[in-house]
Amino acid sequence: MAAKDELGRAGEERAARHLRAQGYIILDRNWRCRQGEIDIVAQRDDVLCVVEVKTRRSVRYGHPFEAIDERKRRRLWRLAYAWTAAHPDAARRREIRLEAIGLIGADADTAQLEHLVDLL
Amino acid sequence: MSTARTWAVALTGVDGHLVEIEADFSAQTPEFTIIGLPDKALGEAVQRVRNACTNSGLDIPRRRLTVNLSPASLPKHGSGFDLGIAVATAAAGGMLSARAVRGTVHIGELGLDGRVRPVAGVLPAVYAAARAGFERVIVPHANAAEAALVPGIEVHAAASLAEVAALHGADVEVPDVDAVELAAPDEPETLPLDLADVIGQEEAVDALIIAAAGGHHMMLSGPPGAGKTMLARRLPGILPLLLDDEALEVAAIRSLVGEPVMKLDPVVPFVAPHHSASMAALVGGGTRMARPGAIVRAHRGVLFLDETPEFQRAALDALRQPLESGRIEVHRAGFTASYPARFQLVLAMNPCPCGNYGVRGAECACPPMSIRRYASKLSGPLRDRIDIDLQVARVAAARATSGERSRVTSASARERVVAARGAASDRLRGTPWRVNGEVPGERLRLGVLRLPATVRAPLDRALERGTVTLRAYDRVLRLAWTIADLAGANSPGIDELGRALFLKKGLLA
Amino acid sequence: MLDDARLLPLAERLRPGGDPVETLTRVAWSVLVEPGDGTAGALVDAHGAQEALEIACRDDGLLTPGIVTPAALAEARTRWRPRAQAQAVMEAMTSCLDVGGHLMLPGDDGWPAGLQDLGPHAPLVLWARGDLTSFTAGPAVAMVGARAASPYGESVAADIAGDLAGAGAVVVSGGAYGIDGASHRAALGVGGVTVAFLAGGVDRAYPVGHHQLFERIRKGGLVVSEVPCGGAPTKWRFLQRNRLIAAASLATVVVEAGWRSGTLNTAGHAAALGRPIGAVPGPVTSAASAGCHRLLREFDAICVTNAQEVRELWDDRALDAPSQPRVDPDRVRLLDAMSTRTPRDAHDLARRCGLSVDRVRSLLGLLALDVVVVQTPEGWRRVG
Repeated sequence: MAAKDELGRAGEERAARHLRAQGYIILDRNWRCRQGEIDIVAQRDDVLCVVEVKTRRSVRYGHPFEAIDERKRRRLWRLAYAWTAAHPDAARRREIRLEAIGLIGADADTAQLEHLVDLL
Repeated sequence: MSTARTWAVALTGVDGHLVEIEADFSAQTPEFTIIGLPDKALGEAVQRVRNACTNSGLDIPRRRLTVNLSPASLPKHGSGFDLGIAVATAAAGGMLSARAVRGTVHIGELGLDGRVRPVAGVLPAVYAAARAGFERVIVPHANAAEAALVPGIEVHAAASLAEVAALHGADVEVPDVDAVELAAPDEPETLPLDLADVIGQEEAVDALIIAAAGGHHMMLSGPPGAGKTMLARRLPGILPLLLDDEALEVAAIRSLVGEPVMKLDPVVPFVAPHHSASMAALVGGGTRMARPGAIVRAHRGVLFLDETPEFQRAALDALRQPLESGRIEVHRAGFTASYPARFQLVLAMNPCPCGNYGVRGAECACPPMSIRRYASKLSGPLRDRIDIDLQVARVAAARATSGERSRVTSASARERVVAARGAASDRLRGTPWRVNGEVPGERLRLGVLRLPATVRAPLDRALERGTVTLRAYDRVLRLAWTIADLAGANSPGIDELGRALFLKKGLLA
Repeated sequence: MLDDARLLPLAERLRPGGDPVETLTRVAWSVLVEPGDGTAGALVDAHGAQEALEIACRDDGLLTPGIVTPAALAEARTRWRPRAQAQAVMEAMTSCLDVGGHLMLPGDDGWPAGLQDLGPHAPLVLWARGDLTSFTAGPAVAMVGARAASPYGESVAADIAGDLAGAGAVVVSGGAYGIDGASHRAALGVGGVTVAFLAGGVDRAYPVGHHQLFERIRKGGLVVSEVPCGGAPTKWRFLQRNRLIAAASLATVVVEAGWRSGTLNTAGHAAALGRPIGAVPGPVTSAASAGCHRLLREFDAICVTNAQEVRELWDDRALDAPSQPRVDPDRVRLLDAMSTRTPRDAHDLARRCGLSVDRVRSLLGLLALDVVVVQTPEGWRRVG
């Protein structure tokens, strides 16, 4: 696995841990379909959260959140609908929300973590 | 996430309007948007502010940033909002005191490196801030001198964003930067021009004084080397000095044009554009921002158009609006800027294309058709505005080099002009006009200013006979009043009428 | 026509101390012609009364060329022939002597010099009753106006005439009702001198109502006529006598006159003779003053309201006060210094005519307006 991918994987782990600590229930990880991949699907209260995780070693090439632009967000919404179509029971009558977790640091466990709730 | 506010100034024409800059971070993925009718240059502020902040040690939160410039409906131009936007952003991001920036006006462009760069129009902007009651304004270092000319407001000159941030309580290191300077002014300091330098042209000097006393627009006609330019350049020296607020207005215009303004100049401006100048250079307008042209720079002063027939027709036509109303409008895509432009016009032309027509001892090579065509390049409406038609002849070489000086100095002429203008403004109190040159014909022909029949008789007869037009009639009356004012007479008599007729020859025109 | 031997002694009595032949000849002329006959006047001027009479009575004859055209003479002879009666000459003289009248000839002591301004239309004689020195008593001023005068008009006429006569002027008028009468009476009233020119013979009072006035005038002045005694006051003669009133006076004052008044005729004669005309204004609502107002507006009459102002009509000093713009003497000086061929600048001209440069510029401006001078690139010149 490339170092980048390793960092990415480690970041996702960290993100999942963070969510659980916040009271989220992880429903799915790395769900793939033709349109792309969702990093984490979780649920909190009665809301379904589609979470995009971005990890960076440093902000030298931009803040992780800067990667989540308009185009990316639209794709995330499409992916979210695709997931709910594939999982009707889990999605039934639940509100959907986009979220983002950004990690900055060479070591995922100690990296600075930022969590954006309810992206537009 | 929080919001912070500070102030900047938007300019329309010479007038400044206070603009409130509101910066707001929301919990969204990073995006930087400026709203409130910014133009393209303003829109690019995003890049400049972002980089400048980073390079100043101001860590802006990576969140969605919306900057609003209100009032929302006022179009805003240029890069002068950069500093304010950066400051509001930093305050909204918690990096400096929001309270401190709330009551301060910020003006300046930001370089990517964080240096504060000069912008045009700082003087009128600071003037507007002072008028609006603000006590403090921060301006680029290069514009500090002009900002200081505005009374009643505290001016801080800043060289870098870091400096400004630190001023507002930010925990940043202020680097020792070389402040961005304005380019040195083009024209070197010139020696004051004196009327006494003009020799052998008593009639012309007299006519110049009359032009100054009554605000009469003037045409100088004569061969090259006769001294038309020399005369025109001495007109500002005999016009009354500007009052403080007038000098401030003139300085504000120079600031708008982007000229460095170091002090208030009490002598009226003298602007002499070349006949090949573009419409934009004459009237105003840049590619993106409306920048006033030569006509506006001549406001409260003298506009000299040497070789008038060589100017584009359209350029000469553009003079009509300001001559009529004292203002000029510059149209750009989407908005119109209006500038003050009340000036005294001096036109100059050769007697013919080759310049030798009617010159003693010279041969004119022009065919009569081309002489007529040359003279007719001036439109009727423009000619109508010219009260004084002066023929300037070459002075004999012997006289010119004799070292002889005329007895009339600029200082003495200016005294006479000021006294005459005082008499005129007393008489015109309560009317919209201040000098005789502005008074329309009907006011002089009818009403209290009407001259007794015995004085008017020769003019009336000529009008009946058709040897003068009504416009020429009015011009003669205007000049006669100025001549009377200069002589200290209560009203013009037959002598003053004769003098006025002498000045305005070519009566059929 | 003059062969009767009794005629000469009559002539002697009619004009004592004068040449009886001349007197007689002139009487004959007075009988032959109507007042204002220019042909007669021209002949008499050129040839003398006697030779002219001979010419007049002939059928043909050589004439000094240029005086009268043959056609005019022929026509005149036709006019005169019917009147060439010896009897008429006799009657003219006797009727005048019967009323104690005399004859005045041009050149006589008492002859009003102003009449000669009429040229060939000057009277050849004046039949006169009264004081023959009247015309030389003082400056003569004509007071004329409407017969149908208003009380205002008569009052003003009386005031002015009285003041004038009191100051030694001779009040000249036509003896008619209205203004004329008021003027004569006022002059007599202050013991002054007045002269009445009549349209008919001096033996008859016309108007009849002024019979006593004429008597008083004969005592304090003179009653004169161009027409021999017995002559009727025809319309033509009225108009002709108006010219005498105007010519005999230094100025004519119209006190009151209607828009079409015959008085305007007198004013017209005065204007033609270059005599100053004074007009007294009245209320703009008064038709009786309309003629005076007309004179003021259309005929260069000068407004007069009292005797002093009337005096100023002929007083040289007062006449120069400008109510009209006068020609500026500086203007003339400047024009003299200018050439129609050589252009000169203002400085040069100022030096030449001795005026200030400023004054020269002012004058040039005004002259240029009237296109008397023109400016060329080389300087100013007079328009040729």
